[in-house]
Amino acid sequence: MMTTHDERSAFEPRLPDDPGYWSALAERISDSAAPVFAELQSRSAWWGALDRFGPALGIGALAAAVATIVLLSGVGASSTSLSEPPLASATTATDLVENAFQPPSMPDVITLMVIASEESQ
Amino acid sequence: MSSNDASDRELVRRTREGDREAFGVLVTRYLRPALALAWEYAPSLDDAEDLVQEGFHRALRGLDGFDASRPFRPWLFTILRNVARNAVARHARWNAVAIPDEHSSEEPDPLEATYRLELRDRIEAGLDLLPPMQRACFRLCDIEGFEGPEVATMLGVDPATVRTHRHRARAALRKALQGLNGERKA
Repeated sequence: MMTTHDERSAFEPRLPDDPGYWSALAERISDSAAPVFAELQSRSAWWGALDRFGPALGIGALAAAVATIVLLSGVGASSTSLSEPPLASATTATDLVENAFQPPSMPDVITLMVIASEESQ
Repeated sequence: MSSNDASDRELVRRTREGDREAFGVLVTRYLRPALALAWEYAPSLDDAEDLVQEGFHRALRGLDGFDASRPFRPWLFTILRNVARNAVARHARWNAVAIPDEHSSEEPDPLEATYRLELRDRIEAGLDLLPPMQRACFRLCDIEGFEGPEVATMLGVDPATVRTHRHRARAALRKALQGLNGERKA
């Protein structure tokens, strides 16, 4: 055995014994957590809203991306549309490939957006 | 079932939902070991309290990322250790040895009091000379009275490692105290 009685009495715990100390400290920590709770609640509210409107926002973002591509490309947007099959105006193999990658016209994009939003509901 | 009897998992779930009372129960449940652990890193009780507070708040913030199928206690102590290590890195003075608070006690006999003071000084000096892990294992188990497995969780090590460190710490302290016992008998 390592310690005698005298030595054991020298090993005094550092942690306070007073129950009042512990309850006061617990209260202090819990009370000071109020701003953290508020922060978490606002965060969860934000995420909740995002989650609720997620599909609609996703469709909107997709539509915006498509519209941006269309507007930026600006190539034949008015003369060619998705409604025209590529084969109709193709006379050579090169035309066929070029026509296949023509961007959609604005009316087509809007139509797609409307159909997509109706399907999501 | 009252909040005090609720399982950690239940309390964590309720805390996630914004139940502050549930959080308070978790704090009360783990406060003592958390403070004991924090004091192994901090030079004073006040600093240890601040560490514990920061640790609990950080745990609260990270509760969404906590896997509720796993035990809460090791997760909490991992956070607390990280908070404490960061604090040690921030405060150079924390590397210095903290002077323990004086405990007011009735001294029965001046000679005995002198002996006990010297004994305590030697123990403290012996503890300070120990490697940090040995010191923490010895203090938490042999002085503060925590069980070995609990200390293992607090320190994030295997229970066998705690036993080994305690054994080595005891041997080192025994050596440090041998001289004093010899002087007293003489």
